Amino acid sequence: MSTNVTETLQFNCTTCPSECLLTVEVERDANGAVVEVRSVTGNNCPRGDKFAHQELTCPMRVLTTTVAVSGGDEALLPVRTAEAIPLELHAQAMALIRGLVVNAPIRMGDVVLKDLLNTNINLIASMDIE
Amino acid sequence: MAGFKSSAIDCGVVEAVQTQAFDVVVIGGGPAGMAAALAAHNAGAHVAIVEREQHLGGILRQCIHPGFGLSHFKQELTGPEYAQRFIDQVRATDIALFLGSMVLGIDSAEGDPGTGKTAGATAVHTVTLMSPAGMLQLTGRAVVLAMGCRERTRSEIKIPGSRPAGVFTAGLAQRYINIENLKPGSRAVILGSGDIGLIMARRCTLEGISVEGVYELMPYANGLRRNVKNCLDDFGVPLHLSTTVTRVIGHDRLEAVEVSQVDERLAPIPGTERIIPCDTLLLSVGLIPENELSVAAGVELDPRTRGAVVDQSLQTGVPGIFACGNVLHVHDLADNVTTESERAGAAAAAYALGTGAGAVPDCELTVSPAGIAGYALPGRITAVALTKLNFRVRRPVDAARVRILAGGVELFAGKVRPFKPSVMESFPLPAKVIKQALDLGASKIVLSVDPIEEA
Repeated sequence: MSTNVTETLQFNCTTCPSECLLTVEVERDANGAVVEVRSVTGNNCPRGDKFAHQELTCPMRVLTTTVAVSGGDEALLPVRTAEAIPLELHAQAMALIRGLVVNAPIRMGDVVLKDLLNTNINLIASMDIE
Repeated sequence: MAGFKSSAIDCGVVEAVQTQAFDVVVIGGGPAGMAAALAAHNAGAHVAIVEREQHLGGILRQCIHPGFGLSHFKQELTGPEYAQRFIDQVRATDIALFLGSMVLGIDSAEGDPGTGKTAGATAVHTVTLMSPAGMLQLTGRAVVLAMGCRERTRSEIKIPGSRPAGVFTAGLAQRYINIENLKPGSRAVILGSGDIGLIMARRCTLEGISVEGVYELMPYANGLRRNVKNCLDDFGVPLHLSTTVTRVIGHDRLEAVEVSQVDERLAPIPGTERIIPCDTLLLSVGLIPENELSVAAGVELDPRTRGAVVDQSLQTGVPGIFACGNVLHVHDLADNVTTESERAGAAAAAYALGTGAGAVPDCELTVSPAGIAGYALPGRITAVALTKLNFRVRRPVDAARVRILAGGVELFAGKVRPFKPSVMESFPLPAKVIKQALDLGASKIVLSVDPIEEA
């Protein structure tokens, strides 16, 4: 029954510039899947605890890249996902975004692509382009 | 440039140059320039920004990644978003913008350009620039230097080998990829674990440029921890510490680099050479404040920061010339640039409008670094008031404390904690400590960061 192993990991919380070094005790099953995050220490605020749990189950990151612009005073529009999306979707998202072209003018916050890969998160413009 | 300008004056050409008058002229339209201009404007000054690019925003326009604004806006923004918020604020004011305009020189002497040091309370600085409409002169009681910094290049770190195409500074490659829609290569090696190098490892990977690895001369990563984690660990890009590029190989285009491990004195260890095939080498090996204009204007530089020596109000040794942001000292966070530049802009406005206290200095103290502190800023203190000191350590330590000394007496000792070279530290120096130093008859305050031996 007890084929589960407990391991101790160390990584930095990236929620704020303090970058607390977290020490995380995690229990994994025989396949390496996380059964339980047993303890999180080293965090100076509750966000570190939340971050560690998220990081071990489904790491989330904001994806930023650029999209080609037609008719603007810049060749490229910097874009971002409005919120973090699963890290494992980033390569797939890049393949999709690479083919996009947007027309100027664009305003910061304009939606460039709705509901990216069914994440319920929009891809939005990071800057104005005239 | 000064020579060119004086010959123009000799020819009488200068009389034909159009002049516009301001209270504060800000040189540079990046995060430092915009924050300084807005703070000066809010203090009631008539302000101009001169920017050599066509758009405001500076280097933030190509820093498309998140990580900005956590302290200033209490939310995580990308570089362009951080810039756009300030661009919108600037555009909502009557701050005059001179875009696509290159400053040629700052003349701080009234009447006689030859003497330089005649600047007094009535001195007016003249900023000469080349704009798309021709040459212009802007006058201002105060000038804020906000020109940012430049990247160190291959020639500054002297990598042996041939000189093929394919060797770029990391920030140049970032500009190619994020602004100009150009692909620098297909298989990259990155030298230096500074933040730009780490950010570019991720950016290249996402854009289908394979990154063989990041090589770092020092035994520790130079960038922020969040960037090591999110840019290398997330994508399985290896970080090779105590390893450097020892040869560039290729005729027309880069074909490979030779890397070697280094010993504790940073010298390559013979026999550890490896050849890494690649067509692109990105260098992220440090930044240098861009101070050619400052030096030509008579501003004294600190050899440690390579930025101006300033007082607590960020005023340089030339009265009325202030400096902030990466031209003063290299920051790791744009948010810190904003905070510092708001101080410089407000101080410049107070100087220009004659509303500032302390036109007559309370005192004259110099500030020097000691221990593992690589620099201390400001280098001069002329007022007995709470003073923000910035410093950076030269090597990482697990346990050290900040000490303030004057005349051999310890006036303050901070708590023991870790310090990293990648983090610019800030320390509030209380007025009473400055007073104590003066009472001791000291002319110098020492900011020392001293490692504590583990008990």
